[in-house]
Amino acid sequence: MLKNKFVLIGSVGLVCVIGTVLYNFFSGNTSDSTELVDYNLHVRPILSDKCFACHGPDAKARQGGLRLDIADSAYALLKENPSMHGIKPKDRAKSGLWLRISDEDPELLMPPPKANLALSADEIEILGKWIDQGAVYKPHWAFLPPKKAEIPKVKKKNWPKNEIDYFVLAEMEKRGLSPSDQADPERLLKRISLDLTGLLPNVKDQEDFFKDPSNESYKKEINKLLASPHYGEKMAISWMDLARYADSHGYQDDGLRTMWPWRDWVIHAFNKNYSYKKFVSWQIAGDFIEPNNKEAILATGFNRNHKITQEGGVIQEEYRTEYVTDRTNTFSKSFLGLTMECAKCHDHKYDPISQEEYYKTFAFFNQVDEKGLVGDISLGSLADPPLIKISKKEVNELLKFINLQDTTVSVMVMKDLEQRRPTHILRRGQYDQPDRTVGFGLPKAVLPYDTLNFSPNRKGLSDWMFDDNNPLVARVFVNRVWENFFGRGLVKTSGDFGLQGDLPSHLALLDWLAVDFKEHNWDIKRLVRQIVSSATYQQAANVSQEKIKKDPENIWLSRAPRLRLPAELIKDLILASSGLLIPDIGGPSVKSYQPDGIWESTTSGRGQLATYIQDHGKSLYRRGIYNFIKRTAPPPSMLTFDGPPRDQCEISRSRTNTPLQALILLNDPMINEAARVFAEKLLIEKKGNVDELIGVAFRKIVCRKAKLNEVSALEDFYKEQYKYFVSKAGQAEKVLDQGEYPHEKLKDKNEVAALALTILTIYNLEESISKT
Amino acid sequence: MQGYKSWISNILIGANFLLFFLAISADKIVLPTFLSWTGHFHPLLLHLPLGIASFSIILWLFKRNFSGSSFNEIYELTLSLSAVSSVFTALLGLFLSKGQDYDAVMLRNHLWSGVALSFFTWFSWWAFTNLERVKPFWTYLQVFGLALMSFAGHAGGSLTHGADYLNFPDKKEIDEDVQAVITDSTSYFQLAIRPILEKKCVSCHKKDKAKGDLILASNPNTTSDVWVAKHANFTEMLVEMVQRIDLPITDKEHMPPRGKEPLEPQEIVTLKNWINAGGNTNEILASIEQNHVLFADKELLLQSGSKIKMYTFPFLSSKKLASLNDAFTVVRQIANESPALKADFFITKSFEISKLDKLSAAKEQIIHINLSKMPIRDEDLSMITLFSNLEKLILNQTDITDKGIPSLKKLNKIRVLSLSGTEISIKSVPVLAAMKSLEEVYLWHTNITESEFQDIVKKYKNIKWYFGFSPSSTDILPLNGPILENKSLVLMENDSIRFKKSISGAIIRYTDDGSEPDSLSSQVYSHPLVFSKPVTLSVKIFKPGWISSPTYTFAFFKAGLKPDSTRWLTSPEPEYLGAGVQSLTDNSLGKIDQFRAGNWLGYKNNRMETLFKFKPGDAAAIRFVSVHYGINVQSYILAPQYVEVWGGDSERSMTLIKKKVLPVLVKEKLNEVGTSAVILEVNKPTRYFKVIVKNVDKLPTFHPGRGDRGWIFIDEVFFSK
Amino acid sequence: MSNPFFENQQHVTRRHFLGKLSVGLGSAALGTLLTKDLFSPKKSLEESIIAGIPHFAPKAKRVIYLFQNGAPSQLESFDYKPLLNKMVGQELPASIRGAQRLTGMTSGQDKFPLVGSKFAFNQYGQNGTWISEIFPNIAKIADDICVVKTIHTEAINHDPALTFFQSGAQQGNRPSMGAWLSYGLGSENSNLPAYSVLLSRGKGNGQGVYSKLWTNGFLDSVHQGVQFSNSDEPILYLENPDGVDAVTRRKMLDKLAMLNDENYKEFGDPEIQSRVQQYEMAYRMQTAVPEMMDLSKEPDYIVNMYGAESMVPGTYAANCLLARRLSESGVRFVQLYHQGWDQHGNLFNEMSGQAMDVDRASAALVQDLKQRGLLDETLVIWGGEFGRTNFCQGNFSEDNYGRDHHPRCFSIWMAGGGVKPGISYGETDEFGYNIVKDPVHVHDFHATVLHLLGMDHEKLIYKHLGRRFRLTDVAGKVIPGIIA
Repeated sequence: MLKNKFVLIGSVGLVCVIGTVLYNFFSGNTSDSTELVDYNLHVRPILSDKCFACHGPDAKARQGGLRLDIADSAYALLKENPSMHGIKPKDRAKSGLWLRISDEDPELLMPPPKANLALSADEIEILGKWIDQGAVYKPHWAFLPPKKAEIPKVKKKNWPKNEIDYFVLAEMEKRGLSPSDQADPERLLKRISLDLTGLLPNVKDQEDFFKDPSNESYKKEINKLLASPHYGEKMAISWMDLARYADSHGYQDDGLRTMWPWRDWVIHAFNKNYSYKKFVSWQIAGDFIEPNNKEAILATGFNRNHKITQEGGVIQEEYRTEYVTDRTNTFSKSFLGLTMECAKCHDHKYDPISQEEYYKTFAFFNQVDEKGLVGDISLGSLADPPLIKISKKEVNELLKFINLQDTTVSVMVMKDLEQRRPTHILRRGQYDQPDRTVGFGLPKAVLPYDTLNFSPNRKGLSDWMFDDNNPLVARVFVNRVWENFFGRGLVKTSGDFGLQGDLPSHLALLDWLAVDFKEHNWDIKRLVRQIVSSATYQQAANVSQEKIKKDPENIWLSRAPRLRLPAELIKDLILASSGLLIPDIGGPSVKSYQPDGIWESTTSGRGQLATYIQDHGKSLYRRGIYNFIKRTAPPPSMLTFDGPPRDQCEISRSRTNTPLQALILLNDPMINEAARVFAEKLLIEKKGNVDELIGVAFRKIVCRKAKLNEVSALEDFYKEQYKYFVSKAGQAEKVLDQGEYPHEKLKDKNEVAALALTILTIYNLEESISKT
Repeated sequence: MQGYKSWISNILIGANFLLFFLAISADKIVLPTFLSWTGHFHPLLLHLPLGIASFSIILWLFKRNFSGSSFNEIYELTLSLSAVSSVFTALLGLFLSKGQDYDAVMLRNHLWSGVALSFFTWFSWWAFTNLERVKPFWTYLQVFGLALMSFAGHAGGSLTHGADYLNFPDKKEIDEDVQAVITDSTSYFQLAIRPILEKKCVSCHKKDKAKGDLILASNPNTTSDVWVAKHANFTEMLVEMVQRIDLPITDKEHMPPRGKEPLEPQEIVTLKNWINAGGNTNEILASIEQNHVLFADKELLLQSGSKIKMYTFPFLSSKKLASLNDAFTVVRQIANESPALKADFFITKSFEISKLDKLSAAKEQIIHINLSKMPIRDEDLSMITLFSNLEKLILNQTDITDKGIPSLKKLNKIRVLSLSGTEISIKSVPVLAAMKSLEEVYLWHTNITESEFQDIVKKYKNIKWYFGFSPSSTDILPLNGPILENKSLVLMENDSIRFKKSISGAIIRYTDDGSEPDSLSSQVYSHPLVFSKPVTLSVKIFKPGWISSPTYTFAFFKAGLKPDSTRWLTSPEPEYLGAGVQSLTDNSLGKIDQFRAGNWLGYKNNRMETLFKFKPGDAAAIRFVSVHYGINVQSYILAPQYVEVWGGDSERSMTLIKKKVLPVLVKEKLNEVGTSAVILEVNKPTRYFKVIVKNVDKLPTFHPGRGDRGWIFIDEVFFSK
Repeated sequence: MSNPFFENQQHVTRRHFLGKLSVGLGSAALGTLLTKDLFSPKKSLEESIIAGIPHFAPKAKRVIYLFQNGAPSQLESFDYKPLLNKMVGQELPASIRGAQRLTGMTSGQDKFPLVGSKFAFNQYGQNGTWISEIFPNIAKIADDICVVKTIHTEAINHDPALTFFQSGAQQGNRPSMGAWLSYGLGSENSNLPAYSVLLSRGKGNGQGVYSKLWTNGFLDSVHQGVQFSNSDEPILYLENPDGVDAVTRRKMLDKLAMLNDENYKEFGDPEIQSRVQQYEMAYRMQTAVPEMMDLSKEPDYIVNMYGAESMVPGTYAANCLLARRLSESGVRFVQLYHQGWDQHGNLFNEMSGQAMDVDRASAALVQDLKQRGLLDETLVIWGGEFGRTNFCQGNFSEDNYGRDHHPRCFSIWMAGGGVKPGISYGETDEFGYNIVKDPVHVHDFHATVLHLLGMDHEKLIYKHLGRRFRLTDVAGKVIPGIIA
């Protein structure tokens, strides 16, 4: 009896254990395999990053005859092993790909250990599952023309303000995130003013908006800001980076050039709200589209902003080829979001762009009537031919937007040769190794260049860009505008929409915006208005630890980003709040304060830019966008705040935080002068006690009312400093000896100095130089 | 309450019998796969009985703290849980053992000690509830249980991690063994092969684990006994090794087996090359010369990271490492793969000796300390000796003296010691020389004299001594010129002239009459100079033991009075208009290499004629009119032919006040580049001045532009008091 | 009174361990503290490279690169070719010249008359290294240096050649060598820029330098070279404005920290804390630099060693001394440029002048590092961007000649940092025109320098716009022959 009981219990126990184990074993397996693997989302990034370099579009580099970026080639039988496929859908064991990536023999393993490109265990598993599920290929998302998707349904129905918000909210809800509250009116006003004009709202605007922060007055504010002439300046900043605008030729002697009238045109075009189509097609082919319109021709200066050598002894053709290359690369990066430059020396390793297609594109830009080296640096050529001369008269009559003083100015523009220059494929990209010639064309993976529709010149190129079926141009621009506001594009790699680029975080939204943009005649101001009117944009920037954990990069936009201002806007902010800013638009670039010796120690000693001759008077107080950029020695304050040197097209800037930035914000004479002038102005007007004056300064700089403890902390500092200056005669005068701006006549220098240092402290607050 | 006891009782009976049955027939049974798979949970589960049993012992020790019967209740429950977890752990362990290839003896030890433990815990539970008379011996019983548990645990640990897992490491042996420095007489095996075997093979193929009966000891002093087991001879073993390495990974015979760290491609090549070359374990590096088949491998290994010393001390945790660092103290790994650390200290002001103390958390790992310029004193050195593995110590420019040196003797691995810039004297040298491990000592800029250097080098040859640069009396160098601190040669109302010398102990002397300054009689510059009129200074620097500097001349101008108005009477060339006519009286001079900059007015086709009008008050004060011009003879820019100053009370009634004719260009000055000035004294106060400057009409025949007109470039006309 | 230097310490340390560390020198330094994670699963290469720790044990920890900008002639410095003196005025054989392309300055020339060195050569050191008489002090350290006579490049003009040497690509837009090092190794002393650039100018024909030579390219801009100014206070904007002393500054920073902290409480953005840290680091930099400049603990004759010019800011000698001090204070990469080596004409006079500028201080730097026990961990490199032709440019005359650019072979030297001392590496033909043994391409040079610093040039990569970039592009191999 007893014995039976034991056996019974023992067996039951055993069965339970075994049963549990079996259950876990199988159920674990099934739950895994149900997860669907998507080619674009999961597989392609791995294949592209780790495999395409040797098994991709580049025919010359292809190993073992295996090509993995195209389904048919990948499914085919292997040359080396005819019993095996590259990939056999649903059969790992017959798929060479699977066997090789899962092999542990280092001599067989792919990618080969030598390539320094190991696949992680997860990645291997993804590829395995993809084969199990049929190894379905899909076309690359960016090469399919965008379509307007349906506006998604959301739970929190009262939140969205426009279409953008539905797309954003839907993604948030999928991830268990919820949007932040609307930002408080002061910060919202600062944000939108900075974003649309790059300037701070004045105190009256702050008051007005604070009193009535309704949606209506927000809309009014948008209209006002969009109509401001400073809107064009703000929009132009990133266009300057992309167009590699500078005031010198670059390369070693680095002489002066005058491209600034082109810069004035860009500002003008944004202000006039030229459609993106007109704006870009004039820059690409203004000379073809409106051959008799000097403005359209001036716009083509875009393609002449590249560096030009003045080094005696260079081989002309080497450099001329370099210029054409620069134009081609700039074109593809800025308008197509493609890294075509990779295809200069060989077929692109990741994207479907052949070397032949590269040179077909190159051909459009290879027709300029130019030389590699025009002349001696000592001749000081401000513009190399082809160029146009713009007289004061023309400015007065037609080109009113150019801020020209009294002489004539020459600007480089595009002009093609009468006789077409043949374009060769260059072996390994070398100028002296021409191969066969090619005609005009563009990558057919993007959109075939049908010579029946498109003429064989830059006009045709521009038509191709704005063809309805071009999948990239609208997306790329919309994405870049988005990046300007949110600090991060919907496609994070805003310069690479190719296979190696990041996938869009909100593909449906990107496509909706792109199509909508096209449907509304490429209207830039409308696009900007859409973005800033969205609830997404108007969220507060406060963030909880939980959100930081869930979404550290703010990919899902459940809060507004906090971003440090770009170099130009920091200058603007300091000059404007202190009342020093001269808000003139356009004109020759200005040379403000700069530490001694920066140009002198780098120069070859030739040319007009051998020494830095600082400007005086009004020129010291112009906006940051007008800073003179000498390519070989750009202003250190710009470089330190991540301004690019304009050597080549830059799509986006990095945003760093370094001790050198702190040193500039504390010690730069420009900032100390502004603090001094600001203090003098406040004390001359003297509308209140010190704490009130501090409050005024705080409000002008930070754009919000200071909190009580903020004022009292600053006032303590003021008092301490005041005492210190009283105790140390002569010290205050030293502090105030900053900058060339005339001093106000004030008796108590100690008071001014203490207030100036207090204002300097406010300038150095993290919030002051941040968009919050 | 009693219910659970019968359940447990039943489970224990069943499970323990099953365990016993399986254990005795272990060799014969074959388990279904899933069961042997459940065995993988053995290492997980075994912590349960360990913990529970330990807990029961603690309970027993504290039994007096419990009131009434509650102790018995809890204690019984604990014992029962301990018994249940033990039996299942043992069962799973049994399953596990089936799937693996373990050393038979060790496995037997573990298996039966595990079974015993299970039975013991079962017995304990039963005895405590039912057997009152064991109670007096209960503590002894506990001790026995603990011992049994330790034994079972040790056997298990040895099984998975190797027999020496729980032994104390025999430190001395490992250190000497592994840290051996590679020299020419090191064997190739030591350099190239042994590290691979150690890393990838020995963990399974060693004495106690001897998988496949193969033993690869890491230090084969003789090849015969340790290398070969199954094989007839050594070569045969190597052949099999190559074969196994070459098998596809999926093959069961492949080595290292699936799941173990595979051989890197380079390691395979190295191994194969060596085996092909005969697999000699004794061949030394020196004999592997240029045409030896292993030469390339040797070179590669010597240059690549494999020359890193292997250290046996453990990695410091990243958290601990982070805590040692601050803004002024940097402690880093020397390389990605190495646990060894290097410590640097920066910024004298930030240093506190406690910082060194803090590093003792890594006293094993730190092999390199740099304390340059830190305020380290003799008594602090004892703290450094804590770092027993220290190999390099830099104490340059610290405050240590001979007194501190003896304490460094404890550093028995130190190779490099740098004491430059300290107060060390010859006294310390014997102490240092006696330190066996020391290879290099740096003693530049100490109290050791030149002649002592020679002796030291001769006497102590086991160490490389470095004494660095010392100035030689025959090497006399030229001084360079004075540095003018004024930013401009134009002196404003209260400006003084300030010079700076770059070298201490040097003397600046000057003259203001154009004569060469000499080292005896010329004025010594000691404080800023003030002059009431334009002056040209010749300045030179002297210092004993140095060649005096060249003579530098500086022409200073007093800032001019600003005219009421200025007007061109003749126009400069259009490309050289400066910043307009105001440039002439803006008190700012141009630079000689920038004729296009805003300061210069250039004339070629016209001579310069300019009219200046002054306010009556200013006019009365004017004493000097100076014309400042540039010269660049090769660029056709010459000194003027003459300068005239006209004056009068109206524009019409001008008379010539002064004129100066300049010497004509001579061949020797063909390369002249510079600036100069004509200074004319005027004593007649007038309101209007006309200044005429005439350029050379024809360049001389020895000039490349012979016959052409010369240029003049004028940046300033001073009207000064 | 408490030390103002430490008053805010607590503040900093507390923040150090709060939340995510943002980009910046600080995090670069902290990133270097992570030890290898032994338990992590298989990782991709990017993940497995830990910023700031060499891939394997380095020989060199720091680099001082004495760049001779303009390209000094190898034929008048380290590559002794007596045949050229014998064949003066004779035509360069076409077989030797081969298909070498010529610059725009000599391509019009129809004659290529050979010209020998006007300067005498002698052998120095135990291995008898040939060195020209215009470098008497470098000759004295012949046993410490490794002369590489077979460096070669592809560019034939200054701008692309310089850019190639500094960034591994002729057209630039790539990070420069120092930026790669800063990225790979981080800074040792976070109170100073990891990558410092010092400029000087000789009297010879100059070609200028460009900030793209020390650019961070696509790397984060913390890796940018910091150009020092030629004044007593080398780092731009380092000095407090007149009238603001350290106490005032400290107080201001404390207020700033407090106010920023308030803001952090409101927004929770870790960037705010990070900015506070950067201000503290800036403050420390203000202390670190003057200390680094301080010579008071060194003997007077250090001036004698480097030459009197070393006391004049902005000269090559002063920069060499400054380079030593920076390097000693933990700066990873100190890049000097000395301009004026472009002798297309008037070579005899200009080159002896240029040599005078650099000879004593270059040698002093090597000796100075050595006497401090630092030479073994500091790599010193001396050389230009290409070589010069063995034929004369322009009209040939007995007392005046010039040489055009020559990319096929030229000489540089290296010392310390794990380089084999006292040797000459590689050989050129007797015309000094082509390499006959052991060529070293610029990419090889880069690979070798990275190797000496403990980095595998094929593994030091950065992914940018879809592509993995390296300093050595797709080429380069380590040259074992020059490694000790």
